[in-house]
Amino acid sequence: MSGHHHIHWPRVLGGAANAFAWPVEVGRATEPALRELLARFQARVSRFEPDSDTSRLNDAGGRPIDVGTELRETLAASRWAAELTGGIVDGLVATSLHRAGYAAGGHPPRIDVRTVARPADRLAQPAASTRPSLTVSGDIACVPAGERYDPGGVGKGLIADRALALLRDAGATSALVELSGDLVGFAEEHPWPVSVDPYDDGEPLAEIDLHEGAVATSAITRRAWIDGDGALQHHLRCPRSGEPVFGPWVAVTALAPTCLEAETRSKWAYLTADTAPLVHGGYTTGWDGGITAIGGIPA
Amino acid sequence: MTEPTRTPAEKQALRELVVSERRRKQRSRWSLAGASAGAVTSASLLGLVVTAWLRQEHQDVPRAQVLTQHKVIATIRYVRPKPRIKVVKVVRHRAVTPAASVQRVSASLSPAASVPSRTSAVASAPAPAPRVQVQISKPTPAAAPPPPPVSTHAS
Repeated sequence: MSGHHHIHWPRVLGGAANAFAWPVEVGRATEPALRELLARFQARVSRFEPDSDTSRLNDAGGRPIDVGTELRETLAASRWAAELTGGIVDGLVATSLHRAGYAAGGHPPRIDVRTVARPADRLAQPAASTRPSLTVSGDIACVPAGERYDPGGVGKGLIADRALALLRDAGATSALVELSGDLVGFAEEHPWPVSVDPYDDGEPLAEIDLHEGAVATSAITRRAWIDGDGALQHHLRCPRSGEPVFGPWVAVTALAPTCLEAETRSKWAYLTADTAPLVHGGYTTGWDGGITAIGGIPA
Repeated sequence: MTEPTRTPAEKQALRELVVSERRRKQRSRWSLAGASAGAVTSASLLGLVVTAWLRQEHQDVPRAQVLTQHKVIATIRYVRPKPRIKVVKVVRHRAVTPAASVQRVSASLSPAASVPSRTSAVASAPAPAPRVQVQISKPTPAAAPPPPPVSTHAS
């Protein structure tokens, strides 16, 4: 049983979140600020909150609207991710998700991808240059008419990094923040034992000793469903076609200095079926359940 | 051989010299009391230290300065007739705030700030304010326990 102070949130951007901190008194003293930070992002950035800035932006029909600091920071993080990946990690893929039945307020029935035959490869391409882009100018943001913005993993990565910074600044010597399986932490003494569990079934395929940095997994093992035509659908979409992306893997795990970067690199690697984005190391999990270590880290 | 006869003035001067030397030796032995901090405030923390010092050895000193790492963090004044201290001015310093994080305090007289005896025949200039060097040690943090296992998975 760990002696770390543990804080739990049932819902942040569509998933649960946890934070751990040592010394305990630092965790206790920082908890109000952490809860306030996550509550603000949940209220203003989550697309599952009907009154959030994200929902207002998506429902504005192409009109510019005022948005708060939290969404502006998230939009800046999405722009950074798009520039790093050449447009592969794109915040506007929510449009196709929405059309495919992955609507706000609920998830489609989950299926186990291990019971489904591997589809033909279909990799991601950047959005067409003719597609209108999401614009931000000062406090004003505008999503092109007919498009929808999804803060998604980028937003989770950003929040995790911000939350960890609070704990670090408060004097924690060991801390970790986890949002929906993406995590970032540091430890002056004992490293964090991180299980790589792509299927989230309690049977990890690898273990990482995390002293400092972030680990994020992008996978189709959770938010996957069969559509009315019997086709496998999931949330990792091609920015150009809007179709689900299929490659040799069902999951990619990336290591990076920050959670935002780990999340971006794992998604980038999955969408392009390429290990080149995993410059800090990572893992790929194939359709047969086999895991491969990338970048010299232990399998 | 007969002992030379001293005039009353010479006898007085010798007596003062003996007293002065005795006080100098006392000062060289000064080892000032420490204090457990707990929840004391900065001002009371300094008060504890300096009170201990003045009560013990130096009740005739009207003013003193308290330093931490060469930074003056307080000016104190001794209030007669009771041996108590009034903290005149406290300069905030991260080494002493918050005081709750302080584990142990000790203090010693800075050698350069020794106070000439008032009875010394050569003490004509006003006595400079003595300076108390304060050493503050913070608690050693408890070792972190092994962290709980966590997992990365599809979000």
